[in-house]
Amino acid sequence: MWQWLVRLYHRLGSPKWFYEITSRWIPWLVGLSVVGCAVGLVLGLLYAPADYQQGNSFRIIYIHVPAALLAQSAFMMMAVAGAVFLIWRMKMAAWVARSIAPVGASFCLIALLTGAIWGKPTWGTWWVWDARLTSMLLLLFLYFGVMALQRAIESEDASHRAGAILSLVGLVNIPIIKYSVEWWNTLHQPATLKLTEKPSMHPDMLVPLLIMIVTTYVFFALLVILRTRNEVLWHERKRSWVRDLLES
Amino acid sequence: MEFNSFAEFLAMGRHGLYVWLSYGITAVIVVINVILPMMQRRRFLKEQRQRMRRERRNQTGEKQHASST
Amino acid sequence: MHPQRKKRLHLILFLVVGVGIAVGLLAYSLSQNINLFQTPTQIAAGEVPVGQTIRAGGLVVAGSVERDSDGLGVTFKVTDGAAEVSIFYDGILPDLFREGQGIVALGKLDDKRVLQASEVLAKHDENYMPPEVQDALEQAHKDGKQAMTEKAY
Repeated sequence: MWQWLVRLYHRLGSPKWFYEITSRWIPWLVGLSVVGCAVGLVLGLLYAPADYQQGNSFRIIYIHVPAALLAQSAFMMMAVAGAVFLIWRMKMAAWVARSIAPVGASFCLIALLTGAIWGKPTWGTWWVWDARLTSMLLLLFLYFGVMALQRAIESEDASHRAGAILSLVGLVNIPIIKYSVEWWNTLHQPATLKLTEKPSMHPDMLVPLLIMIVTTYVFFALLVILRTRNEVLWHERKRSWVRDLLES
Repeated sequence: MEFNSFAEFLAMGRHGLYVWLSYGITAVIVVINVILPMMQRRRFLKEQRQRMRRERRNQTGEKQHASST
Repeated sequence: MHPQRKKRLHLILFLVVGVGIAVGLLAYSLSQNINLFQTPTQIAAGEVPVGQTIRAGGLVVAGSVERDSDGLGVTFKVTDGAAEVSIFYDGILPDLFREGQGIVALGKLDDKRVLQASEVLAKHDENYMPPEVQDALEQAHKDGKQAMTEKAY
């Protein structure tokens, strides 16, 4: 198992291998994203019962929660990729980190916007500076900062290193987002989905949410792979395998 | 099914504006995220193919130039 | 592992742990300011000066909601289980406002220690369920209570 992982790691470090294997993955990722999204939304928007307090406005949960979860996971993945780049100087890791940043930022923005829209009818306000909302806004700015660093500096190597360091420092914000609703008084309610306990949600509402969460992760993988492939092509454009690809 | 008619579905029990605004904004951001890398790829392929054609033309041009003298 | 790589790994771990501790201490020292609202216990204990704008949060006490006869004004009490605070508000209450609901009110304490609110926000909990289930739960709760009192007699 360990040897298999090491071999996979070395292969993933090879841009050509990555490009070829993901060519086979893309159709599956597209199919899963489309089917998952269709099933999840039909169940969530049409079949899930309305909430006893919030009525139908709770249906925003089917995009808000998956987007918020993903925005945090993506940041962690970006930091891990950054660390791999810093320690082993693996170029692929830097390209993956650079591909994750704008996608993660997009999902963070989705979570913030849908949260604001959801807050208006339920809380009575679009925005409040409580710990959860503020730390989530900080996550968006961290994404912007990492993106700027990854692209700004003259030397590509130096800009990747700067982006990786900021994403590692920014990791501190992730537990703050997660536990903000427990450590401090916030307007935002505590988590509905918990790792160790039963989720506090009716199964008819929960199933579409879980489908949407899984689908969001699959879709995220697709978007990151698409961007990383572009990075691979650009950096390897002088290599013979890319030239062969262009000839065909 | 939770709704009896399409109009009821759209209304979302007087929360229609909020629900559809959320889903609309999300759809826009998602579509942008899909289109951007696809456009980037297309532009890359076009530019690189042009570059290769130019290089080949230059090479053959040089050869002809060399043979004529 | 290659010694240089090991060094870089340690440097990164040091960076992440160091920043984590620094931010943790900062958050701990600021924790009172990070709280969005004060609880009725804190307000009753006199931790909040009169005339300063604060946020008070708690559950609306059942049976405490009184509407003014002349206008929109509402007086109600909120509790955190240990203490209560009276709140006066003359504006449109959020949809989710009801007895037993968690709310957060922004306002100033007057000299009678009533919070004159300029904004009332509703909190909601992490539970999601259809209305029928909620009704069934309530019914079960009532039946349970009845059974208990019947037993007592």
